[in-house]
Amino acid sequence: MKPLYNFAFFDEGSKREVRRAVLKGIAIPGYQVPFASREMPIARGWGTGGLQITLTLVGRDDVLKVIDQGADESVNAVSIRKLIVGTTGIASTDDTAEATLIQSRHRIPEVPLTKGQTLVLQVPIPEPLRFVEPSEFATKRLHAEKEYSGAYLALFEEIMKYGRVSTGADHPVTVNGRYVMAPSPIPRFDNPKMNDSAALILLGAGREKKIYAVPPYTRVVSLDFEDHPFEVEDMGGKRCSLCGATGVFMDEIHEDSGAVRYQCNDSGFCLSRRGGGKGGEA
Amino acid sequence: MKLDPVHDIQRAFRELMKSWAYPGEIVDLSAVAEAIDIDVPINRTAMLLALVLIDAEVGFCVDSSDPSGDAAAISRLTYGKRREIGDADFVFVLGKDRNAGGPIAGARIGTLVDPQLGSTLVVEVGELTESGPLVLRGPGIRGERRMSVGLDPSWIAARAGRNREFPLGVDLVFVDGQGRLASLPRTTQVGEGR
Repeated sequence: MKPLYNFAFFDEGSKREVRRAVLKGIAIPGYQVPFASREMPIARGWGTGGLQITLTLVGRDDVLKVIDQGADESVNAVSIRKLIVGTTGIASTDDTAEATLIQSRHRIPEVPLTKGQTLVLQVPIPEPLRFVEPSEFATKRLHAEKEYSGAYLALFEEIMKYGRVSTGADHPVTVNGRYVMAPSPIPRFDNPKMNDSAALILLGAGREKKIYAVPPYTRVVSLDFEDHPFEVEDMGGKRCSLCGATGVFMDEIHEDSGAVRYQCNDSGFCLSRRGGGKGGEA
Repeated sequence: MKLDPVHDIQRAFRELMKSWAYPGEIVDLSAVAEAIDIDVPINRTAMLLALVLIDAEVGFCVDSSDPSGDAAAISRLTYGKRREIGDADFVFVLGKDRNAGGPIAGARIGTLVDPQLGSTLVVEVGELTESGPLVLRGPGIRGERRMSVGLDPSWIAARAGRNREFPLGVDLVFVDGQGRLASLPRTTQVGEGR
């Protein structure tokens, strides 16, 4: 049967464009490399950057995992996985350890990533200074000059207003002592997982036409102040009501009765602790 | 060409990406490079990298004993545009005993606003080993790594000079005659140990 698409949907020219940007991203950790972002069969801002990187990287031997906000089964994850598996025929899995290529929206898996794995994060707004400076022309110059007082000022204003840093997700980080980078909207809980990671982390923003990277074994430091050190969300005393895990990122679930229970946000992790979830489904 | 333009190129890119992510680690592309079954006048691994990276969107430059002939061969297979060294996205330094110092000193390093415009140099070397006098540090390296490069050592000072002001700089890919390859992105600090 003649396949309807080229392997991995993309034409080879588009792959070359993304490949060149990925390499320069690795060479300049945390710097947003502009690239000729393609139209994708999903809407811009819904993971097209991550999808373009994944389609460019993927080969016949890869095992794919796609996560959306911790879950393998939510709509965004399922449609992206279906597109990739449908145009490549590769295997997919829920099990982080089994995957060679992991595309994720808004989480880094609980199971530590290993050397040889690649994590691809979907990024809606790659520019950490965007809320301080709306002009791309200007932010590129701020990065060139390593002028990051705006990023610190934003955190300072939160402390003045609320007495603490109130970033819910996407708390900015400094990569390799040079670039301030948006880690994508992962919870603060996941920021430390970027530091000295054994796996390569690639970040793609399709709508904003940027690709950037955190190479393995690279120092990633969350922005903070001496008297207001960076803190992750407090998961102390919370236990997953399904698998009993502690010390992982939890979803808070309010029952009709008014009772509150917690459950692992990383559904693949939770399922594997309960002895299931292997194999995945395309 | 027996080389599969989709799957072999994908494999080559993944190995190349791995070598950038883990600088100094040698990856083996011999099986893929050997699939190029037509006569090419240059190192097959270098030609394979040209096929992975170059198309009509980018410019390249060749430094070799026959730059016109070698550039024509690359251009024929990739449609890449031949450019002067200071204007080339990719620079190929071909021939085992070339002195890479000159091309490195002449290659583009990008600007502070657009550091991604720094060139990638593909340099043919005599041999590559994961031990030896060079001490590598930086992103992608846990602690430090050792390596030796069979090449006139003038490249080390030339590279240090070009990469003095991060993020400006050039990224190097070394290829040997056996289909093996190792990369030094601009973040890697190269020192000389004993």
